[in-house]
Amino acid sequence: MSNSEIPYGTLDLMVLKTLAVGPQHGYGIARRIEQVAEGALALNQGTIYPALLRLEQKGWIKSGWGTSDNNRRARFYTITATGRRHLAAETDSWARTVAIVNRLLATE
Amino acid sequence: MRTWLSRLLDLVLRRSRERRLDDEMQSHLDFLAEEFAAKGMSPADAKLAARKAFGGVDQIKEKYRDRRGFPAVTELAQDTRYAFRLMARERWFTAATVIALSLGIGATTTMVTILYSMNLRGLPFHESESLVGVTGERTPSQGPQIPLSIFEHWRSASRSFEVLSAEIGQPINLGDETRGTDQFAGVYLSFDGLALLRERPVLGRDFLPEEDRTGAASVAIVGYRVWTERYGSDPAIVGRTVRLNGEAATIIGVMPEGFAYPVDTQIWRPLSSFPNIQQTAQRPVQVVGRLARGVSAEQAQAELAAILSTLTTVPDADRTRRTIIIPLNETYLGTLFQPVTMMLMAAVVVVLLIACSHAASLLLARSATRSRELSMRSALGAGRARLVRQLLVESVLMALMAGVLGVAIAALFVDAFAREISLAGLPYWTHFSFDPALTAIITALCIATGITFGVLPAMQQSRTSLAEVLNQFGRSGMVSPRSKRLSTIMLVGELAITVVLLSAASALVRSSNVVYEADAVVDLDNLWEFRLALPAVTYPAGDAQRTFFTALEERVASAPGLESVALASQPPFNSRDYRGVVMDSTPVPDGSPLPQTQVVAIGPRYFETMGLPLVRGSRIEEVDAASRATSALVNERFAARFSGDADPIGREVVLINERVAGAPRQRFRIVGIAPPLRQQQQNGPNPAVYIPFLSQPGATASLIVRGKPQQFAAIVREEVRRLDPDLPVFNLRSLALVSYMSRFIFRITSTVFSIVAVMAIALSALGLYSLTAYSTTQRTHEIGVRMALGAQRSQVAWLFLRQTLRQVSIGLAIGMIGAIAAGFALQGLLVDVTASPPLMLAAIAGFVTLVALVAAVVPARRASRLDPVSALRRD
Repeated sequence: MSNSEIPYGTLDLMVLKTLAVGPQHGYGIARRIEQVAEGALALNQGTIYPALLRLEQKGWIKSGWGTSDNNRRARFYTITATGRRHLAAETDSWARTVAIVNRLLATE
Repeated sequence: MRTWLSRLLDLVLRRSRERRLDDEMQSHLDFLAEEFAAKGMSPADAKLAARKAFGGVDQIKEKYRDRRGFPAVTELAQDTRYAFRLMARERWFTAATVIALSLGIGATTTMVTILYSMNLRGLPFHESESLVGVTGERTPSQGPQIPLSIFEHWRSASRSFEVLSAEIGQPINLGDETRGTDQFAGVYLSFDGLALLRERPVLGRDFLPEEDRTGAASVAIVGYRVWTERYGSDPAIVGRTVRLNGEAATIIGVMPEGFAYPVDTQIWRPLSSFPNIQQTAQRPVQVVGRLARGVSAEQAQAELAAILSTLTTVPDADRTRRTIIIPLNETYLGTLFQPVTMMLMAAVVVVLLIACSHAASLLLARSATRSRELSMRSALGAGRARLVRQLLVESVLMALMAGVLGVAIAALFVDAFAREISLAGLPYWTHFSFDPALTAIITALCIATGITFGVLPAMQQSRTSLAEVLNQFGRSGMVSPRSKRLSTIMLVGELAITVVLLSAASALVRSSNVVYEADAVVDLDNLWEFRLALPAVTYPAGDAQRTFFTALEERVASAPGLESVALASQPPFNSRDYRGVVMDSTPVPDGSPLPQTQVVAIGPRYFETMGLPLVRGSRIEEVDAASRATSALVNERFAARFSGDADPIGREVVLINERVAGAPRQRFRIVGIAPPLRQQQQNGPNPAVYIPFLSQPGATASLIVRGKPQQFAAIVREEVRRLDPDLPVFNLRSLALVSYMSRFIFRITSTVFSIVAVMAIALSALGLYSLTAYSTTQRTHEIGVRMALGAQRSQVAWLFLRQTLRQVSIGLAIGMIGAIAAGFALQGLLVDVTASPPLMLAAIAGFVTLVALVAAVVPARRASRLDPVSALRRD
């Protein structure tokens, strides 16, 4: 299970968490997720764009053009206040789910 | 909500957002390339690696687009544009499919339009949903109508109706000093019969309750047409005294323009003025009503049945007769669900299905050329659902185009039908035209058709995988074995259905011919009918009627210029009089209904006038005067049915009118065998008894005249006028017309089935042709190889013919079984013919095989003429 797919529904959470640190462009977000995963995730970087659109449509993030560190034009995404609330709620829920699954698996 | 708003915005800003996506992805790719370049790759390698890390740009774009806007809307517009482009490019294919479909849609639309116009379109009255007809279980004597006495009980006891009204339709003679006498369709009805429809006179007033009582002053309401055409729109018509059937009556109102309830009616009178209405409590009447608010038809029906069961004064047969409440429209037109209409509907739906399967196999055959394109689209990121939808949009668009053509075809057929049936007298609200509801039905039909024929090929085609198509064959245009099998199955089905339809059509045509031939024994072109109705006031009883008719007949017979004339109670081909039959002194069985025979009362020289010699025995007028009134003729069908092997001449027949309680039994001695002459309308030749007119005069009679109308029309009118100036002669019509109208049901069924069968065989032939043609192009390479190896041209042609013959023989085998099964269902509608005799089935099999071979031989021969070298070289 070295190069696993992204579990369904978790990409949103990863993106939100990444953005909670600070505004970032698509490439930056993808890079960051790959770094954290330390090569354990097979991420087609392109797949984050439909996710970004989804989050933006829900009002959890917003976007605007800006300039990157190396002076390249890029679209930057920022988490919104509702996005932060959602992230908090999802984080809790995720933690609970993991805890339940862990306990369940531990009972063997 | 937010998502929706954002999507809506996307729809408007499509272009700029598309650009934004491009820019964004490009910048991402640049970042990646930069990263790879920093790791020491060459710029070109870095770019490539960037794309790999990013994933399929186009697939992601497509996914991204799916989340934006309303994909359903944008893509539908896109699919439609694309489909139009494609159809324009493949003009011939499109035309072939559209024409095939338009036949099916045209046939179905015709039937739908007719049935909708006759049965489903709402009535032009306020709150017409609560208008109902109250009928009884059909009996030979009363039909679905209700005896007057029962109606009166219902009316006084029932609480389920706002209004309950009785009607009797009968022509009324309208005369006055200045304008002579004309006859109009008239209706006698309860005083609130017009109010029931929520219709009011535009001029004058409606009937008052007291005007519908015995002895009330005679009044009438006339139609708008009578008012404008006969009385020049004179407002003084209200209060004017006219003569109705010879009696003075006052016109009290004029109904609105266009109102002619129920059938082309122009004079309405209270039921109480119907002649002798008080003495004839058993008189069948049409009962119509308006249900009270909140009362359902079932509740009302239960209430009426309960009232009926408590009546002690009515005959048992009436008390136990089932009461049925139906929508008002069905009172006049019958229900939609009759064997004949269902059969016709089934026939057109079958054609539609054949057309669909034909269109589907065309689509499948084309899938060869489409598969490359579809694989390409799939490679570029179109999901399977998207591909299926794209293909369905195409087929629905073609179905809609076929719908336009089909409606044009249907308009012709509906028009022809409307002309035919207008002779039969439809309620005045029936009109055959389009309205929004009907248009919606037909559009839905087209869309359903498009989906039906498109869905199978679409599923089939969308399954093609990139690898299969682009690599497997390496050359264009191979149909997968799967879709070929599907086309073959559909074609075999088409052939089987064609056989069933041909066999049904042949049975109906033969049956219709039997009836036509039966009528053709009479010299129809020179025979005419006049109909007379004696008003009961001037001719109250049998004696007065007898005197009048005898005098009239003598006068007309002796008038110069007339070849021959005879009286009859009913014209031939249109008789409606039935009686129960008992032979000799057999006791009348209790309870069970008696076998029925047609009864016609005829005057002297009846059969001479018709130009038919007696089979044997004597004519009634040859019997000596003392026993003439109790002598009768029977036809051969009667003899076969009721007399068996015994000679009917000399036997006695007892005629019993079961509909009228206590009606006297009439006993006649059979003196001769009448020539075959069809009497019953919409039916084949049946048993008939001819009794002397003088033994049973009636208020109405027909005068059958042989000759040319220009010679005698004036004579007859003049003689009638001399006997009674108030009596108009009506219904001067040729027996050819009476016969024609009386064969309506045969004509319509045989015509529809013939058209449908021709469409079916044409579509099957087309299907065979295109399947064989495609099969030859698919196997061009193989043909080349075979020829190179020494196959003869005839062997190549046989290759394809053999395949066709196999399909045809399976289709025929299934079709034969179907035809025999359908024959059983059809037999009840046939006159004197067997539904599917073996010889006819054999002929149909031969015909279908021949057509199939002709359809297949053209492409097969073309294949055999191929030049082997070029066949091998062809891609």
